[in-house]
Amino acid sequence: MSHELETSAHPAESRVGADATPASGPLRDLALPAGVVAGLLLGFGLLTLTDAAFIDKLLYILLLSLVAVSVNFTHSATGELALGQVGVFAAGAYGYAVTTNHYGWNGWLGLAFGTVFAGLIGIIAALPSLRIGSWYFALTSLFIAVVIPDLARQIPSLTGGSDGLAGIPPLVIGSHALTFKDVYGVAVVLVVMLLAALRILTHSRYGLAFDSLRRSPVFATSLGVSVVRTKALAYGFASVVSGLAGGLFAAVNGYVSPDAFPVSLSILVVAGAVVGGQESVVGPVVGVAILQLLPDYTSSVQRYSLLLYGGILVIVMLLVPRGLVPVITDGLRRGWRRIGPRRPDTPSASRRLASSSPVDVALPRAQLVTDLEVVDVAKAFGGVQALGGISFDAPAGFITAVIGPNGSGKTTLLNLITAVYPRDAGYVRLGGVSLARRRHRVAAQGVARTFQTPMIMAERTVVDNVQAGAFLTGRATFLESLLGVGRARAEQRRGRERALALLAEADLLHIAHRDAGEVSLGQQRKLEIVRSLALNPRLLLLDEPCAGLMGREVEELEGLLKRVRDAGYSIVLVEHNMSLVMSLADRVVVLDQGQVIAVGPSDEVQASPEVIAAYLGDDDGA
Amino acid sequence: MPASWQPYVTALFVGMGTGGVYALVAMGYNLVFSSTGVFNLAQGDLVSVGGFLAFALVTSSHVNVLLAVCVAIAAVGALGLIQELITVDPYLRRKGDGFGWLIATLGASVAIENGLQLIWGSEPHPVPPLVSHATFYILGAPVAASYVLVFVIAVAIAVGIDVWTARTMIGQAWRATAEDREAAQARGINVRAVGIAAFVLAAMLSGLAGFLVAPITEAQYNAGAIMSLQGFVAIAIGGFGAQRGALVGSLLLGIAEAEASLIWSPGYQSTTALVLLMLVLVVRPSGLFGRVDPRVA
Repeated sequence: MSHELETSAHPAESRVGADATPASGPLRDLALPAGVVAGLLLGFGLLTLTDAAFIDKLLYILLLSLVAVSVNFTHSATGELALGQVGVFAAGAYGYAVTTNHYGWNGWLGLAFGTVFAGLIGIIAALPSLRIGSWYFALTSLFIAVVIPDLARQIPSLTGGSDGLAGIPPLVIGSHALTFKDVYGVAVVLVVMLLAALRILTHSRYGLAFDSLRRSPVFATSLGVSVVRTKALAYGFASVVSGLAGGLFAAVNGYVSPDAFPVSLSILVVAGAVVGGQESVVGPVVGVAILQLLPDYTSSVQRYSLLLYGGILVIVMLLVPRGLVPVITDGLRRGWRRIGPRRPDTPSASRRLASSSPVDVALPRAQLVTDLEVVDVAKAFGGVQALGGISFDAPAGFITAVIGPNGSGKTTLLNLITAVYPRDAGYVRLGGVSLARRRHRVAAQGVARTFQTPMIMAERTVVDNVQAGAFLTGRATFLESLLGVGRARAEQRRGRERALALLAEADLLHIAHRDAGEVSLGQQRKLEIVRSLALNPRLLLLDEPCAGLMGREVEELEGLLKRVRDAGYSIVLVEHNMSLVMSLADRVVVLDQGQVIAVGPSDEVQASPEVIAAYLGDDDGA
Repeated sequence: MPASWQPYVTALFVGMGTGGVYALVAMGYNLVFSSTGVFNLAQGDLVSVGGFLAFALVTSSHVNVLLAVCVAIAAVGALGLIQELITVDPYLRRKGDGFGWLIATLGASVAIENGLQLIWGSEPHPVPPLVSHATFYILGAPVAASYVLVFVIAVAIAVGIDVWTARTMIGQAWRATAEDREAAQARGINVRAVGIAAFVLAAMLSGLAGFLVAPITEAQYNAGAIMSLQGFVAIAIGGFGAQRGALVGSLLLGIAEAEASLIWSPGYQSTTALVLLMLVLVVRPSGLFGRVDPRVA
């Protein structure tokens, strides 16, 4: 799902680059510039064609491509489908048309206005549904595509109503009015720059945040990523891009009318993104081009074009749900592997890497030593009291285990501390400060967590996963991350070094560049702990870190946890494996049916008769 | 009652009539969504198909209205079955495929719309009132019989579905599936069959809705997209899962649109619906009668 950004305009080069072994370093650095140059050459090369109507058509394809790329970006960044993005495109077009035609604004000012206006329309209309998630957004977006042309029809004094607005002034530089060929050149540059920027974004803190968000909102917030703000950021950017395309459309056409933005055009754009392949950055451009050019060359098909789009959507989703471009690039990649030079196998690559990395670095010491206090925390689901007034302390520098049979409320407790669920009563304090009620803020207060089923970004590398944990330690803005300049570049390099150092500490350096989905469960669990450390936490909350692990893996994990504790971090872990808890934990809190029945040093608790009766009695204690 | 209120009262009942159409669509969504989590973007186009069948059978061929409505319901139900098997079933059986069905049903929507245009052209096709040309006077305001008919049938069907889900074996299976798909499966309920049945039933309701609304709006090939969205807004207002929510939400939407058309202009219909949707999402995301908070679901 997430290697969309691993694919570039030039599959062969980029694939070699994407292996990210030191050997392919220079190639990797070249892949992006090579793609940019090739894209520009192709774009401007087509200008030498003498068929003006064809170039006009290509310009339209490029402008729709910008919309399709923004739809694709929204999906890959947030998991949401902007089904009606042409509505935002239309807002940009009308923004330009009305300000320049009606109010006599300078074209560039009108273009800026149209872009900002479209961005605002997109965000305002989408925000309520972005908060809720699921497919509310997709349908609200489709609604925008219906409403914008409808509204334009309703205010003829401004927009010309159904007749549209003619005589829209073009963009002017000096005394030269930009022709459609000029605007075509602008559009080529825009498309190429946008694709390059989106590719740069992948490895930035925002690229990782977007991937975590698409993986799961609960996961993203555990890294300190605000779901609503991040979705709004992604969709706002997508809307600005679509609005800019709309403004250019109005400027080059000189005429806009509601009929230029039918709902079917939104569907063409979505169809383009799907057919081209949503995982691929260039996919939408290819898809839109196919769908626009196809009816042209089979002119008898024109009447059936919507039937064709509809049919293509159904068939492509059924047969090649990944889209054409990823399928083709995969094929090329396989072919390249067969005929191309053998790439270094993983062990040798990682040895080289290991030698260049500071393996002997010690685990960084916890920056602040803090106690966790849980006071009277309660939660009911419907009529069921999951936790009824839980209180306990977890002193700094110790491993505190919360144990109890299945259903005793252990995971609920973690979810209440991290504000995944609102607490009915009670409070939680870390170092004397109350923990926030907003999830992503809790992470910012220094609470990191792992999950019962490891939450990892399966298609990203192990080291990427660790870097995702450092979202909050970065300061680079979204814009810096897009352009790969300023703080973004430096932070990324530092973050990578730090991630590798942490991986070395956990003895995971040899798998740093493997896809996280491919490594063993034990390694994934260690990876989660390493990722938690990347957050610079004061407290680690671990949800059954040893579940599903065998002998040696358990020992390795125990060793890692003890080293983390000895570096001064507070650890609270939830576990139902009694023997593991006894060998690992310094202190134990026993939960039974939503109540604390014992707290204290492990050996004392183990000997407590109530615990033996309530817990060990009806459990085999394994 | 002052005479100047009359148009607003008429609009109120007109709104309840069109709200009845939305309700038939929205109840169909509810049936399908509760049991499968799927939202059919072509539902509105199935309504259009029902409308054109009304035109073909009643206006062109003078078939008896009762027979015609049965044929239309059966035909749209069959179309729904085909659509389910192509655009929904494969995605439900494919694990972790996310929104595949959303795009596939969108494709179906576009294809059906274009198909209707190819067969019947772009012009609206008139359909005479099905039962009576009479105009009722309710509270002194004139209301065409067609609106009353739709409203009465929608309410009857809402009650019928509630009784059906409570009393019959299939209804119970549907409820169990809606409650917990996996648990239902574990108890031996064929959840796939339940999902298909719900989808076909929803399609039949859409066919009926199209048939009933055709005399009011005329049969139009491109009315489907907005109808799908209106059904969605109605259910967002009422809340997912509850049939009375779908009914009340639909009526509220219909009335709001009718009054807004009267006050401003008919062109603001879609805008009214969008504004209403955004208000609901901000103020009460789970809808008026919603049992589940969509943020958790």
